[in-house]
Amino acid sequence: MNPKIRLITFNASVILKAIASLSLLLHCLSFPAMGQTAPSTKSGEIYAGIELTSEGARAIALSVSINEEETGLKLVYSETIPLALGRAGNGQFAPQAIQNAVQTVLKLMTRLRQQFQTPPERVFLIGSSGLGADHPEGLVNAIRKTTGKTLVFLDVETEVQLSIVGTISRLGKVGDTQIDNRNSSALIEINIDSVKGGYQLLKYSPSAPPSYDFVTMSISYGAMGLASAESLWQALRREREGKPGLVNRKRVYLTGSVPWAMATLLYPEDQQPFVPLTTEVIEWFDRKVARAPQEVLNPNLSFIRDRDLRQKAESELRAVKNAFTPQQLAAGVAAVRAVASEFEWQGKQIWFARFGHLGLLLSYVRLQAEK
Amino acid sequence: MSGGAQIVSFEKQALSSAQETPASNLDAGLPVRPFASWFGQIVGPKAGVVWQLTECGEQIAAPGQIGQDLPACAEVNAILPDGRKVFVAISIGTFKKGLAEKPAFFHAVIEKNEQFYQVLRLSDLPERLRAPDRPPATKAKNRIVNLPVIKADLSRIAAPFQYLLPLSSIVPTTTGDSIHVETPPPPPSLRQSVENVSESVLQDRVITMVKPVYPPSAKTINATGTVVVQVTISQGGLVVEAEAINGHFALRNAAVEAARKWVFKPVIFNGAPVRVKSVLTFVFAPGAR
Repeated sequence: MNPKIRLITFNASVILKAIASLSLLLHCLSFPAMGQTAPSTKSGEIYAGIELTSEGARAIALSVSINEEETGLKLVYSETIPLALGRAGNGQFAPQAIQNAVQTVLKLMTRLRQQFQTPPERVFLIGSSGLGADHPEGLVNAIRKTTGKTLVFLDVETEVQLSIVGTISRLGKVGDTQIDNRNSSALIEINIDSVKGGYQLLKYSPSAPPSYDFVTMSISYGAMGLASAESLWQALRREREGKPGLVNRKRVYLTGSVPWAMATLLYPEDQQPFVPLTTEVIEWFDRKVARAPQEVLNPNLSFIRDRDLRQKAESELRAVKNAFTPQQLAAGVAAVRAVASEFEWQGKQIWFARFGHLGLLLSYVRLQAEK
Repeated sequence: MSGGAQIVSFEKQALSSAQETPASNLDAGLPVRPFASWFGQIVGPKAGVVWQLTECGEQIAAPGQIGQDLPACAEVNAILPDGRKVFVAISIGTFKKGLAEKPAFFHAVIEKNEQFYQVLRLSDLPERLRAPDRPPATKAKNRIVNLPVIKADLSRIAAPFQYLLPLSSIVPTTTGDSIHVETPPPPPSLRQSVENVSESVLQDRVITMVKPVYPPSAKTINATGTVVVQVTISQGGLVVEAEAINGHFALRNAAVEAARKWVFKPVIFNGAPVRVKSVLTFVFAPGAR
């Protein structure tokens, strides 16, 4: 690794495991972040995060109030901007792609400063694990030169852990009774080219104090097609062998672009933060997408009487159609069905978590703000 | 999927084994009554209790089998009304080898204010719960990475993957009052009540529609007409009860049989799928024979 660019990859199996886990995480997160040192937190201050992936840049702003008892957070803004960060044969990004990425980051930082009065030192910039592969020095250097920020790369494990914490609430309710939600749920993120996920559990060890631990999985299968379907099933089977919680957890939170597309197409009228799904619906949708993808991608929204709601649904549908070709949608939904079958979702409570895509950034920014 | 079926079966066996084991088998100082019953009494009726099968301990070599094995525990966790969390793990075998001869107490932990209090003997648990402020048995302190409830300003939150929309369409433009929802909220619990919905609502949510088979016996008596079947549909969209409430008796069974095979998109109330009751009307016209 070139020390000049100080690419940092977190090993999250070390982070978040025991007593020192969080402080270690905070230490690691702050280590490479020149210009990202967080000042002491006052009531209602804005902290922001920008996540750069190979598909786009995502930004959030959080209003953070910290007192001795608790931390109050309010998500006040989020935005995603498309980017096509294609790599050249040597694994590095093309100059134009780098330029676009830098300009996008700059644009988001400007917006955060102008609209939310967020100073640069409270904007935390992270790069996805996919983007960090092959150590893109050119991109890191260009961003540092233009914005003064160092792009910090996460590893897949850390991404999943932060997503679990940022998406699944600690407590849930069954009737009027509170239950331990996070320790009895699993998170699965399904995108066009990958399946990731995991769960939190209390770790018992005779030689160490009890602590919360995370079990994570990640399957990356590139541009998915029918040819790779069998290997996906095999990979899922391997994952479940050593990670029983993927099968045994009775509550499943879905994130990623494919569940988003599914929920949008199935229930365009439903804008709730959590949209319930069932295996029957997943199987039916899989069959329907395979049989009539154009029909699925063009649902009739006239049944939505509320004008604002219908416009919002139309906007989401346009976004789905822009993000997926019919073939990609069919392959993505087939992947959801494969996961549902292999991880035995029949009879479980399954939700699409609408804000799950922000979970990682939420957790990251919150951890930085609490330092 | 045979492996999956085995795991489900193992899970059920493991949980019931731990639940039904006499508490006295897990700790000689406890009464001879099923562990689940004893634990329920200890944590009280207002505690939210979850049982699950979980891994407990490091991977171990599985003799005679490919790959590694994992110790398995039946874990029960409970949230008490005062916010404390109680975990008890009962060792029940391994995931590959299956159930051990006898379940055994593995571990118990109380979590309060992000601190873990180890309970070394199960018989100590009642006293430890009665003395919530007692210092921890271990000095372990674990800050849990917990996000508090986050309030989202929906007017400023972009849709999850609007990557390809022009920037102007997703930049927030309003700063006025906005709807606030708490996210992530507790998951919507499955409602146990049954909601009545109209047949037209149900028809909009049909996934699988099965036409009734015109019974030969009905043909002999030239039976035609409408049969109304009252159906109850599960949260998952399956017909779980079907009863013909009017129509020609020669046609009723056929209508009920068909109705049982219908599948619906779940009906959602307040963000949660609910059990619903409605009717399906089948028309047996002369031409349908």
